[in-house]
Amino acid sequence: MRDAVRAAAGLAAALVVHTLLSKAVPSWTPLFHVFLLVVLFAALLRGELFGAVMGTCCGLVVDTLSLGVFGLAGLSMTLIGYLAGLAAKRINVLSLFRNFLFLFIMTALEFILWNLLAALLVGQPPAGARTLLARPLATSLLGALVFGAFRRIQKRHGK
Amino acid sequence: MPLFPREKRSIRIFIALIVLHVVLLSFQVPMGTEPAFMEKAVFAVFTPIQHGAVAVIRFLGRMWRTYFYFYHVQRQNQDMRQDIFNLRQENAELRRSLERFQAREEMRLFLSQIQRSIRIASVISLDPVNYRKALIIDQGRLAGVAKDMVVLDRYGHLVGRIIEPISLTESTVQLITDQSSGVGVLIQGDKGVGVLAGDGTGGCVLKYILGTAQGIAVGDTVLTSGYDRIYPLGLPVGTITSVGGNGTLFKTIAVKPYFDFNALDLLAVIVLPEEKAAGRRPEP
Repeated sequence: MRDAVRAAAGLAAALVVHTLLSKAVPSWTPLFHVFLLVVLFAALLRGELFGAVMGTCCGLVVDTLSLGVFGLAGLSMTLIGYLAGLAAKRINVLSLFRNFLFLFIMTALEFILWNLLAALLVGQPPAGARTLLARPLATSLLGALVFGAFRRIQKRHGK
Repeated sequence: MPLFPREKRSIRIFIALIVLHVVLLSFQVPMGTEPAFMEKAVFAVFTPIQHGAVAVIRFLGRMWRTYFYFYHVQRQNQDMRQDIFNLRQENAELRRSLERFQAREEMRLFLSQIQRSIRIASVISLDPVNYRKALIIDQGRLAGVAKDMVVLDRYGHLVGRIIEPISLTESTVQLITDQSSGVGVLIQGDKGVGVLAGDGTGGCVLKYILGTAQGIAVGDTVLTSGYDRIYPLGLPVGTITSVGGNGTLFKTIAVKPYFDFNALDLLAVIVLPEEKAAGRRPEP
């Protein structure tokens, strides 16, 4: 029950942040994949299963908000959520730099996977190299900062 | 002893989720852009959250403006008065021009239809995957919004068209900068008729203009032609920024749309019935 509430809160937070970005700085919207960040945080904190479930939920919302094949982002984010959870169990990714690197690799992987699936299923041309680099970089930087702040708050409260 | 060990259970759930997505995709791919029931359901559940977020942002913005920017109001008022004056002059000039072509009663009817046909919409969110493809607005079926209705920015420049899913209070807009969009356009001055599509980077490309076409230059204005029977004739779309491909079958023409991604706060949806749309080309 607690996990369901956490999942819903995470999803709602991502939606609100995405809406805020869309309203305030539209040109930054493609740089920060807030939905994927929520999935990766879920995988980091609660393991691969929670990561996969959050990947499904967030992915389907992304699919609904975007014009394209429904289920594409859902599939890629579910796979990445599971993979991130598995990887986080085996590697220590808690320090700021490691966390940044981990988020960068996962975001880039998701982006490549999504592009591959889009090209394969609907023949959509893949995104340019600039977007391929800029998006994971910006998203992982934001993610590492937020995760660092979250860890600090946790430490302060002795968790 | 548990029926399913934790590791195995998580793998099973993961496989079930993947199967769910594969099933969803196999249903969706043959449907093309037609939204599936599940997509409509997710849309109906989640867009109200964004609606709420937008309402909160707007409320806070209003508070800010009211209490902290009070001294700007007078100046703003003055500017607006000037704008209204200019618009009235322009409106009167347009009415006079229209009168030359139509009977007074016919014209009055036409103008009142136009006034009734505009729905002002606010952008709720952009496409999270590619923000140049689509956006969601806060007007839906309740306001009479339907598929293929034309969407303009606050200056009357073409932005795109309504595409499904449409819920009671929200709808999706396909932007003209989407690579899969197609707008029937002409180059002002009868220089050519073609199809405009997005180039994936925020600009547009003008297709099917013969390589032998003469007189097309950078800075030429691109307007809707009305041949696609979606966009009415004469809506301003953008300007030509480069012309190439001389000597080939079709020219390579790049077009910069007039609308600005960063100023898409308010949009106008034209809900005029198809047959009454202003200037739309008649059936051949």
